Amino acid sequence: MTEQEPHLIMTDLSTDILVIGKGWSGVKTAQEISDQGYHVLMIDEEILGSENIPNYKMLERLNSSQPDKPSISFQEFDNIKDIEYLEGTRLIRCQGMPGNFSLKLAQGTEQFEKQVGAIVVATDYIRTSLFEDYGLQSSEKVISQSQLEIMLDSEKKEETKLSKTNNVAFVVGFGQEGNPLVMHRIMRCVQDLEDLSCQAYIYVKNIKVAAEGLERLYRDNRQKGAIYFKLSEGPKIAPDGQSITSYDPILDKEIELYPDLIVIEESFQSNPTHYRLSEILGIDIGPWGFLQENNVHRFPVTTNRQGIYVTGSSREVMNLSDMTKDAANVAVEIKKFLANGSKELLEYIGIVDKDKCCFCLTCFRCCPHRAIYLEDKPVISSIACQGCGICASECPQDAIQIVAYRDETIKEKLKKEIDQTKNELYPTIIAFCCENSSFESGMAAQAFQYALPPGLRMIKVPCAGKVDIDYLFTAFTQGADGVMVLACHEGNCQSVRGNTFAQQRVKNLHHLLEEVGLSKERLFFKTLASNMPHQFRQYSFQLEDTLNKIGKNPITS
Amino acid sequence: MSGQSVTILGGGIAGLTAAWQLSHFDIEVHLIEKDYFLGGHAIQYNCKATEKCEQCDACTVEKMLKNVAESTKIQTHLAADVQEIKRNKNFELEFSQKPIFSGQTEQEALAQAFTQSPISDLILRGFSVWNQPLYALNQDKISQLSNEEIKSVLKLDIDLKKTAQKKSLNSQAVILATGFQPFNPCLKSFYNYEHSENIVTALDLEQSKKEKGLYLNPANSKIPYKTAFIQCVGSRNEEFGHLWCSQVCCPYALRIAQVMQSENPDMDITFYYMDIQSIGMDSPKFYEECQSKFRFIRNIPVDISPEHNGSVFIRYLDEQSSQVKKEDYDLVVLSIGITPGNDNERLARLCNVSINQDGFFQGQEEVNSSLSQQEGVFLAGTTTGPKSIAKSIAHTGQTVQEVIKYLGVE
Repeated sequence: MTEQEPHLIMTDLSTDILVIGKGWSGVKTAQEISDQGYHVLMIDEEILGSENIPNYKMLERLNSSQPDKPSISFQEFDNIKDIEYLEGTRLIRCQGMPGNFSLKLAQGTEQFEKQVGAIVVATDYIRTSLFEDYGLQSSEKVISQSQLEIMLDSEKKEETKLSKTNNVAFVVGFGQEGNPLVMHRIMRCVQDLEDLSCQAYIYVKNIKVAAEGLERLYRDNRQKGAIYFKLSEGPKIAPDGQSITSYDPILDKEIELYPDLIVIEESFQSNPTHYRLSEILGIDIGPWGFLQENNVHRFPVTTNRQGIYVTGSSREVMNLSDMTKDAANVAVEIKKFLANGSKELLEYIGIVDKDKCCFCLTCFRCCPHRAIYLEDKPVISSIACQGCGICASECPQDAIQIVAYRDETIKEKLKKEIDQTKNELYPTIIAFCCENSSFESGMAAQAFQYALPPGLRMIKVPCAGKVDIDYLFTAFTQGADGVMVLACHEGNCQSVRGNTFAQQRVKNLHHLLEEVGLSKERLFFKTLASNMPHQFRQYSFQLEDTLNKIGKNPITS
Repeated sequence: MSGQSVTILGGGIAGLTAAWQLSHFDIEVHLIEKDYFLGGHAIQYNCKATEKCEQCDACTVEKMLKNVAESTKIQTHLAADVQEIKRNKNFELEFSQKPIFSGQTEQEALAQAFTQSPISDLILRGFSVWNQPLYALNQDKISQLSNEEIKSVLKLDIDLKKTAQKKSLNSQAVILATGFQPFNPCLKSFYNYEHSENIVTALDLEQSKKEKGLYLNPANSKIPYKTAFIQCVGSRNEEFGHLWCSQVCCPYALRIAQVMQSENPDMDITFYYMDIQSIGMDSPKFYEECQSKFRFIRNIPVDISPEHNGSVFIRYLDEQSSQVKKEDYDLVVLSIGITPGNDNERLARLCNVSINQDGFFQGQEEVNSSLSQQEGVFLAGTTTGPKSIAKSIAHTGQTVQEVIKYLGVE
């Protein structure tokens, strides 16, 4: 195997960007990317004119009381030169590596290929009326939030039910926990209804006001005469919508109202295409089917893969202002990633020894960043690879080396650290530390002059997933009395599963240690964040105490 | 270098993010921080993970600070106060910088004095290992002490009368990222914050955990077995004209409570609240977990007062029975909210930008508050209103995009 250090090489990257979804998030993101000088190809599975963009009207009416309209209209978008739009088109395959993805697209029965440098998912969320959660059906008196909005936006309101409506009841927060966007829609409608001299009653669990301007709007609602009932249990609604009853604890009695209309809340759900897109693009899905894992290292717009971004309504329920922020963030990330279409990259970050590789594809399957592609043998793409080393530690043939963390280097360091401590500074404790979390904590503990066991030595790894079972063996055979593997907390690993891999290896080794007569208490796995020097110290002493009880490593003594 | 330069005022999470993002492009970045340390309020928060990450984002602040500390393209000016901003073609900024003792011997002496110093607040230590330099000599404290007093603690031959230095910078764009002011509960006698060591703010609790590693009563380091959180302290309060939800207090308070209970499983925790706001991407699940662990009382108490025995009693109107009830607690935590920065009006005058009716900076558009009303002046993070760490980062990303567009960065 070559021990040469990799060179920097100039690599060409495509400056075409694929944006999936023509909702407000998609359009705004396309515009921001285009403003940075990139060519955008936008696709949407539906055939959408400027008039029937999903959610656009709903979102826009939330700002309609303001003089400032959203900074882009769909008519304007149709005129932007560097955006090419293909309607009724879907992505069916994505191959290649970031910077040069090869896509297969289908428009009707026709299939064609495209090369792009980056991909942005900007799918819309779906609105669902929650009639069922209230045991109701849509009827003359019971309507959805969307139906009410259509009536309020109608130019001929006198022809709608609103002409005969004097009071309206809203129910929200009992069918779902809700969020500020759901609340904002209701508050906006309440404002409009009160302007039409309609009395509004709002039955609500938690008033979700954690967004700009909502607390003020809530005050305005009440000043106009709207009445809020804050309840812990939902009100009883007659099946025909004739009456609505709630318990008032102050008056200690049931209050029954006979509203002309009852408006049922709506929830926002992730786009159903996400599962398919997640599979095609190799990006992880998050809570509730939204296309971003719940991992702080991804926020706001990145994914587990380089060059693939998620924006606005594809990743969370959000309003126009947050979608606008996402759009700009995507443009900045793309500019950082693609620059002007060429970039100096390391020749390789990890290398596969072709003689050792048996083509089992373990690396291909376990790479959280989809950085491995197949030629005659697997190749690690240096543009996609984030250097976590999970592949290197999982490879059953030991055929993979991460250049910055070669096995030999780590083992030499291990040996050196153990040799320096094992005779004088009992107990010798080796801490394998992820450079993103526990290594930082360990450094902080030292910098803050916290007392640490004198025989403790840290071995820095790029991710706990790099802690090869062989390293753990080596530590014990070289004479370490105890070993800690300190990973990121569950859900916080930058390489998604590095911590889980490490934990699994520790478990496996526990069995083996007992077989060779070593106490499994000598090895433990803990999770830490980068800002936890106290816990670093606590875990170190915890292991030191254990070792003081069970004595020296019997292998070398 | 393209010869383009951007100056960022404020080194909290927004300022750090702005500096780090801009450093990827061919731009000279100056980061001016009035404190001795970067990181703002956000760096003072602790990780809120129990067994799993709870997405509090405290570690992303740590990471961003590391990025900035390691970057060779960002020039940081600590303990610096902007005094004048002149606009000709560019912005000419004048600032004064307090003396900083960053040499190795100086830092070693400060470190030693920090651990031994009987004079509190004379030597300050950063919150993160990436606060460089890690120790600072508090100039405000020096002025209150005699030379002899200081020399008895600090074994270092330095000129204590060294005055602040005047400096200047020239930039094409300015980003205001000066952050917020945590609500001061002393402004409302009702909270009795000053009258009991068992009534603390959540920020007190965070700072004390940074120091001690556990959530304990900051005053006496005792485990507060019975703890109450009071939500919406300084937020959603018409009396103060605070017609906003601070957006961060429900998330941080519930996350703190979870960690407290994982540190001491017998801890009994009660929340007094108006409305619980959504917390993170998986809010329903999180809220459900919290409801199974803590007591939620939908009422902002009518009375919070210290008892003679040191505990604190709370009187509140019970929603179920309509009766006024009274309960005693070992510790009462005030979930203080976000209010506009103290210096906003002066900064607004210096930059010729406006303040909105709430006292935050006025963005140009409702959907894009990164643009101020002044060309070349941009806004980032909580300068424009309450935001979580994640939202501050997203908002700053937008600001960076606007700056890039404004400068025409290739």
